[in-house]
Amino acid sequence: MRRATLHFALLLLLGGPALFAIDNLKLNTKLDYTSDSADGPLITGDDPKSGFVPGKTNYVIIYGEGCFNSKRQARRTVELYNKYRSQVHFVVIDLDVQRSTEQQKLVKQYYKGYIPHVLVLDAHGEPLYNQSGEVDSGHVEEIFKSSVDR
Amino acid sequence: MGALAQGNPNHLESEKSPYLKRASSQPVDWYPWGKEAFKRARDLHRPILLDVGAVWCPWCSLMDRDTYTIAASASYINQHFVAVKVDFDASPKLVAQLQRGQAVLNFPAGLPLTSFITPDGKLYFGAGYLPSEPKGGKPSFREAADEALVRYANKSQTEDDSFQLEVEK
Repeated sequence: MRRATLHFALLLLLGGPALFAIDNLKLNTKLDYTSDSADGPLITGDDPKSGFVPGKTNYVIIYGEGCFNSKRQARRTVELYNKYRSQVHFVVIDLDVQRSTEQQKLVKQYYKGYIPHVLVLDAHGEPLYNQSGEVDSGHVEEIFKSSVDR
Repeated sequence: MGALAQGNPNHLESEKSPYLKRASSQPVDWYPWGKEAFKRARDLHRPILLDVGAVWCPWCSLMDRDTYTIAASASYINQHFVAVKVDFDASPKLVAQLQRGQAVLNFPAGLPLTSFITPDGKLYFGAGYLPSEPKGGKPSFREAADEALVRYANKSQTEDDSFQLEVEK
């Protein structure tokens, strides 16, 4: 029994960032959608440092806090989360704060310097969508559906 | 807060972008991004302090008010760095490169962008908004700039952990 507990604790420590998903996503209620004002983190949630989780479709938003377009995409992100949370893993990367090692892997590979940047990765980490700028939720949902049905 | 300084015109006087024009009377000896600034940095063996901002960015205005218009801060900057200012709206390609560099190195990549660059174009340290005094876990401008000088003096840190920018020579 004790050995099993130790084993599990070790597994958690080693796989920490990848095993836990950001959950309970909420939009910052103070966001001003009329300007590029800096209102703090756009999206909050439990374990905000999580990165790509294999075995599941992943949606990734890379944003800056003082960016009007990022705020609008953050709103869509939380709406998508509320609808697809059971099927899709969400990753939220705030460029204004220190990122985790797992998140930095995504930043180094995909971020080209324009915000917001949105990624949809399949269960193996292959990009199904990889573009800077806002993206219509309907388009993302189509990608989710085709990816989840695979 | 230190005394406000009315500077001599720096190298931004003939710039057309509103953000640069606004800084042309600051006491910091600002240069626009370009060969001249990098040549000066090479000649003086000093790192470049780069500020990227925009006229609509409130935190950029705060840094202007609390740091870049203050005589003591300006004197410190002019003594240790070659200062370069970039308008976010006027140079989107350059700014994308700088923001990617800061993001890859795990520094803040929003606005204002405060970057420290070697004379040969390696971005090696950076921050976002820096208050005049340490606040809410953020270092002050002076603390961050001192750290940038220490890292610059320790050449290995600027070689190993850096992002090479495209610089016109």
